[in-house]
Amino acid sequence: MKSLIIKDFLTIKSNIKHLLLIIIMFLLLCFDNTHVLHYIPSFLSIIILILLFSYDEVSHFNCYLNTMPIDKKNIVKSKYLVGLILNLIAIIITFIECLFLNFKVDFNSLILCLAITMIIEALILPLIFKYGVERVRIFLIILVLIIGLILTIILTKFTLSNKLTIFITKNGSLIFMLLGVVLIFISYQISKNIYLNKDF
Amino acid sequence: MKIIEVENLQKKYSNFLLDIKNLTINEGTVVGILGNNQAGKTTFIKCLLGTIKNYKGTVNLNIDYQDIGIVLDNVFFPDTLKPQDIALIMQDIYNNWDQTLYNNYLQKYFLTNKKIKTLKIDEKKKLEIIVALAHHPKLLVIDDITTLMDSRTRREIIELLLEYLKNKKNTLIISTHNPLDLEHLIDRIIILDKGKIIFDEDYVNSNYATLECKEEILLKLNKEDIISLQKNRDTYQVLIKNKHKYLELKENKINLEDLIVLITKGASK
Repeated sequence: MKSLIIKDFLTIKSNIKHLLLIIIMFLLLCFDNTHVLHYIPSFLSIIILILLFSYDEVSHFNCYLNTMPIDKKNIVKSKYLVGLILNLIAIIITFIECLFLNFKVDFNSLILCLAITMIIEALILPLIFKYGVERVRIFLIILVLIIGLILTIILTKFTLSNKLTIFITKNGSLIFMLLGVVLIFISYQISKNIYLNKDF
Repeated sequence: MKIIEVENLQKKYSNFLLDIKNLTINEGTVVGILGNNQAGKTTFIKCLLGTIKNYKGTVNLNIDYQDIGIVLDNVFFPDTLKPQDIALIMQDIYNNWDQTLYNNYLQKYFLTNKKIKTLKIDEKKKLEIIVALAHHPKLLVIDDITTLMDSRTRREIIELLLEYLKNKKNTLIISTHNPLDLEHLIDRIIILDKGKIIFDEDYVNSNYATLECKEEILLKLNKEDIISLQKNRDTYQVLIKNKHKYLELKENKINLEDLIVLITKGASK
């Protein structure tokens, strides 16, 4: 499994110039909205994960992998792990960003952000394993945008001290986190079954 | 030792059926799977390797996946990776990964450490074969080898394969629709057409020849010896076996390309 994680990070490394360009572009676009800025790394982590699937798909890498002495379950597991590692890196970047820009570090919203990215991934990964990135691309963009919109609304309300969002951010982040973990687990089981029976 | 055993293999698609009744491949043989495009070669190879799982029948691969090297058409690592990235990944997957051999091959065939997408088609094919050979596989499977390759690259690839086949225990399964240059490698020929094996014979010791003859000579031939025939303007081109029976006739040595054409296109006897 180590080799598969290495492969994904080597692919990211080989595209680092493009990724940095996208990150800078996003940062410039969202600089006037500091709250949205916090969540940019997490969204990018999802986009990078989708890109990794896309690279695999174009080169038919999964067909190649299926001829190698690798446990097929680990192929699925590695993608979930790479996703989680990317999400964690994104949260650390957000944390550093908060420190750097002298924002108050709110651990609750960081956990909430991580939980939401995990929920998004739990929803989209089985679809990608089943149909491939190309076929669900539009659906993925819509899903990420909708959740992004919801998140932005929550954040905007949060600044207005809406009682509901205060409740969610203060007490609900752990519940969301728990939901994220459970959904990731269920999602992995579904993806595993899809992958093990798929023809390449 | 039987390295591959296939029984009643069937894989159905909406417009195609792969149907292989019985097939075994022994250790140490070089098998050429020939056939035109859409004959089912890739589907067959993917069933053997297990990348296609939903089929009827049984396929037994009596070899560890650690000992198999694969080169499939249009199937490889993401093209943003470099040869040394591939080495880093493969040495964690294959216990026998031989970094020195890999580096030697890269150097010998002038493959520098640049992104796969910057390589020419021929260079990429060589890299794919080198990657497949670098863990000393006992079974090497190559699908659609000669697609869009120039003659120099073909020679280099044949050279690589001959070196691999120096170990008489190594098995090679190679599929192509263009069998140019492969004649001196292949021990056994399997010709697929529309998903079925229509020819499966020992090639080295084969007793085949083609004849171009008029109808009166055709009628004298033993029907059992005629494999296929094709009518030209006023002669017939006939693929025969047991050529020693017809020494008085002027037969031509058969080549693989004729064999495919005559068998898949020739009218039935």
